[in-house]
Amino acid sequence: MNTSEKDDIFARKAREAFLASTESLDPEVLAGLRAARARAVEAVGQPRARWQSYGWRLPAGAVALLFVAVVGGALLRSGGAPSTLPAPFAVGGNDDEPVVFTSDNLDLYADLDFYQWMETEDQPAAAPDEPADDEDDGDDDDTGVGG
Amino acid sequence: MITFRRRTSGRLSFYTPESSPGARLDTAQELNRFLAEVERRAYRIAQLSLRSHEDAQDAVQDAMFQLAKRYSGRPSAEWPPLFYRILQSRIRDCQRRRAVRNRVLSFFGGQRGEGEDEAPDPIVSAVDPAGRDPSEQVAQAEAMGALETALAALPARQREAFMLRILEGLDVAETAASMGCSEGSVKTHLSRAVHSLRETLGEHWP
Repeated sequence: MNTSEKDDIFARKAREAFLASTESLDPEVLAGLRAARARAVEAVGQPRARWQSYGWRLPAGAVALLFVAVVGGALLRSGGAPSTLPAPFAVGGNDDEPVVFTSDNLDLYADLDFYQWMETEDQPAAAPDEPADDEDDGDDDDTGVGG
Repeated sequence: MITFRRRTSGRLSFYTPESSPGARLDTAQELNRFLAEVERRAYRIAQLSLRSHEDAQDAVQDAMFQLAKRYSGRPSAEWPPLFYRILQSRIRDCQRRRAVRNRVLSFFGGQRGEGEDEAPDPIVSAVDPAGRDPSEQVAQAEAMGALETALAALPARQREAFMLRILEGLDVAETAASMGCSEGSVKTHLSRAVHSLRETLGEHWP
């Protein structure tokens, strides 16, 4: 008898012993199994609630919705835009760069021609108060000391 | 008239009947027959794995309910591997819970071991309904007791393969589906299990 045949005989005997053990189960066990079977059969074809058919997708969707609500709320509360601008657009970061993003300076650039005209108009009015350089360079020798 | 629509779940494609009252009744009757046919063996398989009457009954009850609730629409030919797959899953869950409980108890100084709360073996005390000779009944019970002890010493996957393939009588494909592994793995586990059991029980068992 080879190993395979011995294995087959062993398997057959094991199954016989197992089946014999199932024939002599305690009546209480059998009653419990019958009750469990009846409950299971009652559940056949019972429609699942609509939310149950979504399975894991429902809690995942709820988490995603909550995340969007939290992030969106935080953005709205901060004015809809980040509170700091990227470095090239930062205001006051470097004094040498022209500052163009405040409303005052935009007005200044819009009226630049006006201010230039104002400057040219103001200059003649100031002239009488100041001695002319070329007059000073002339013979201003009040001391009478001549050269 | 029963109409079928195609559904897909995971790797398996299957057909499920539309839930008309007549189809539901047929399915319920067929499922009742199937469960009545397997319930004793399923209970004993769970008991061999868990060595506890209450845990075995809970596992079988849960497997029955899950099969009815989730898979009763499948063709009845798919029920055995599905049922035993659920049952094996429940058995593993119970074993994991026990392992955690034992770790916690041992951490706090408890000494309760696995299977300590198991009920007395009903096989030994029950009257044989088949009316066999008492000595024959005792011999069978002793043989089964020895097999049970030897099975408990096997690695879990070998034990599953032996119980499903030999004791329950599933074919290799159904056993593989129940265990969630390939047919080759089933053959390997089974071969090792048989050799180990034969070595443990000896040539003259039973």
